Amino acid sequence: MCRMCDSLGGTAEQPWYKNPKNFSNRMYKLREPGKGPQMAAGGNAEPDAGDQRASPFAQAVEAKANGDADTFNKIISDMNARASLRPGCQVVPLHEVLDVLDLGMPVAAMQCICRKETRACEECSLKEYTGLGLGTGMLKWERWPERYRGKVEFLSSKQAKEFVEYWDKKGFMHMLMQEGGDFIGGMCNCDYPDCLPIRQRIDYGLTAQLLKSEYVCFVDWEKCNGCGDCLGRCDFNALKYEATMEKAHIDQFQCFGCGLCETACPRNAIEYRDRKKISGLARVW
Amino acid sequence: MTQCYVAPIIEIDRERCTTPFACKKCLQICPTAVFGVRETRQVRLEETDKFAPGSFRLRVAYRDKCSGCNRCVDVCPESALTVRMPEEVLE
Ligand code: SF4
Ligand code: SF4
Ligand code: SF4
Ligand code: SF4
Repeated sequence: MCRMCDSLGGTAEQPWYKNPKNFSNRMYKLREPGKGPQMAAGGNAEPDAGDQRASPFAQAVEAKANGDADTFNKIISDMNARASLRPGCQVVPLHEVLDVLDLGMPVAAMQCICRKETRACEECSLKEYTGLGLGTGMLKWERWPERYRGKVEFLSSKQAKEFVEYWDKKGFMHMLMQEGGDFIGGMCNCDYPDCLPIRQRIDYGLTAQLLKSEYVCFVDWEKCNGCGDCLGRCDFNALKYEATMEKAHIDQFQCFGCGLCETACPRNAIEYRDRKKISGLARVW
Repeated sequence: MTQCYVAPIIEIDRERCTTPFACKKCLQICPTAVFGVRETRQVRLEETDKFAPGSFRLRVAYRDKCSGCNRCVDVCPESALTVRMPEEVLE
């Protein structure tokens, strides 16, 4: 069982994100007397790397860019040690996203803040939104129009499912976001390099930012004819064409179990296996 | 252990780059997505005007991924960027 389930009421049969309690967030708790409203996270521009106020992550990037591997590795391992007490995001394959969306109502489509930050993308209408905000917290989106730039669009359960299927087809994998560690705040449709959690894990080894899914994918070589339709879908450097075997190849240790290769395969040649039931992968999150 | 290579220094002249979220040319052309942009202040009940000078701020977010290809320098309409390898590395 991964740390998410340990701390958030998951079991061997049912992962944490199928526990409805995690969607009934506590955003509406009353403010303590005398306390003012809080600034939203990310409200101010981040100081430049090298600035003393820069975040530990920005300092790690700076150390790496200076060729200083010792400092880089030290900051990253400290960050990982701290973060191990606190869950981050987890990859969830399409079929499970479709299962849990109903638990997360109300659901609203919104802009992706990673794409906004990394590629200055502006998603201003339902055609462009790529993220989903989940739960009652969405009902107060209007307080922070910058956070929800271009407004939001509340979706019915059916629309929300079509929305996620659409972006899956386009090539975005899915993750559930823990906000503040005690409820599920959003479902993102993401890819490398704009997605901050993917990037922080893949490029910098911040494992707790993004946990792998409950699954790992295998190619059934009886069914795979090597057509290559799945290639190019993987954000985690796990999928390639193995010329020797003339088949698709998945590196089991690299695979995050996002299922993007599976949803692209016209021959159902890719199968999900429960990570927890494979001895060598059960602890690889 | 992660292998670390010395990366080029990237300088942004913020007198010239004043509305990066509206311009976004370097952000979108960089092959390794080195840049980041954020509003300087998030104000309750207000969406930030991307055309107001200084309302957004460009920063070098992932300098370790800069290859020195210079595509950002070439695309910038304001000549606000310089990318150079530290001299001690070039020697
Ligand atoms: S191999 Fe397939 S399931 Fe695994 S991470 Fe890549 S795209 Fe996702
Ligand atoms: S899409 Fe399916 S059949 Fe084609 S190479 Fe990939 S796994 Fe094999
Ligand atoms: S291209 Fe130049 S002016 Fe435009 S955002 Fe980048 S640095 Fe600023
Ligand atoms: S020099 Fe090339 S790699 Fe470096 S920031 Fe500019 S566009 Fe990106």
